[in-house]
Amino acid sequence: MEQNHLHNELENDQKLAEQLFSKESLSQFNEGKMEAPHFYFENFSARVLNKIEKANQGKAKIFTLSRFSRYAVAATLLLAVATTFIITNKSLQPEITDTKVADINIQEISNEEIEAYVNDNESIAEVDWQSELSKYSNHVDPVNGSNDTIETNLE
Amino acid sequence: MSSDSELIIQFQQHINREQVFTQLMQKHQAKVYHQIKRMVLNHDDADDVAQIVWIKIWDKLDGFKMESEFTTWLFRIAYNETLNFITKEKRKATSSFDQDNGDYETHSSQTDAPKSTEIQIQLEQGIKQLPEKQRFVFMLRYFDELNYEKIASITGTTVGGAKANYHQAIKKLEQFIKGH
Repeated sequence: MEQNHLHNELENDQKLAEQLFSKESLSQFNEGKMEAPHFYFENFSARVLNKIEKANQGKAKIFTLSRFSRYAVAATLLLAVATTFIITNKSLQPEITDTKVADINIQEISNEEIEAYVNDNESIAEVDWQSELSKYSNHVDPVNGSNDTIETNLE
Repeated sequence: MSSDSELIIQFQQHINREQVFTQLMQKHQAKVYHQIKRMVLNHDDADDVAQIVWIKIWDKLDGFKMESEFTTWLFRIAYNETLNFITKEKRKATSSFDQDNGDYETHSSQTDAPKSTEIQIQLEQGIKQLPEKQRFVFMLRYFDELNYEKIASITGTTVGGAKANYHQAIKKLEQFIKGH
């Protein structure tokens, strides 16, 4: 029923065109447009494939991965990122801890400890100071070779 | 010979892709070529557009979900590429108009059709002056005898729109004849 309706509709539409131009001229027009050079279709597919191949040579090759391979690649990438993050983070960590420890130590040192530290360093400085003086005296009074003169003068 | 869907599945599974694609081309190349040639009117242009169409099909066939018939999809791509070509040619003709005082009609009238009778020439000119979409719908309906549903899918319009396009084409052809 529906097929008949569709067929009738098509016939009616075609008749509209045939009232303007004859059926023959319409089919002649169509035949003229259907013509192609001899052997055109014989080598058409080869020419198209050749063009596709040439176009693909310039492109990067695309691999398709199975579902398992996709997960494996994703896991590897994640592992690489995580490892890099951990390593980078570790190399930065000691500096930060040192600073914190230093801050706490300075605040927590008692006055007695500081005085003791200064005294200790004073004696070290004294020792250094003495050795420098002896060097200096040797240089200044090379004739009598005695250190006492200079030490007395300085005092 | 295998059906379109069998060939497409093989292509999508990367089984002998080139061989399978060649089979698809051999099945449909003539129809695609004729559809294009009726619009662009000469062999060289039709050949260029047909090649572009099949290269596009190769690129997009992996993503074809078979929700519509393969031929509908194929002819839709052919339709779009033909329209692109015609638009480009029109632009070229417009830009060269100032230079050599030519126009698109004289350029595109260099068809490779055989010598025709007066009525034949009138028909050819009448069809040529139709807007592209109406011309396309007229060809698909009158010569290919496609139903309006398929025509609507190919031209990206509604069934009502396709019917309207056909009847407007008839009206314009009638006016063209009266004017000549």
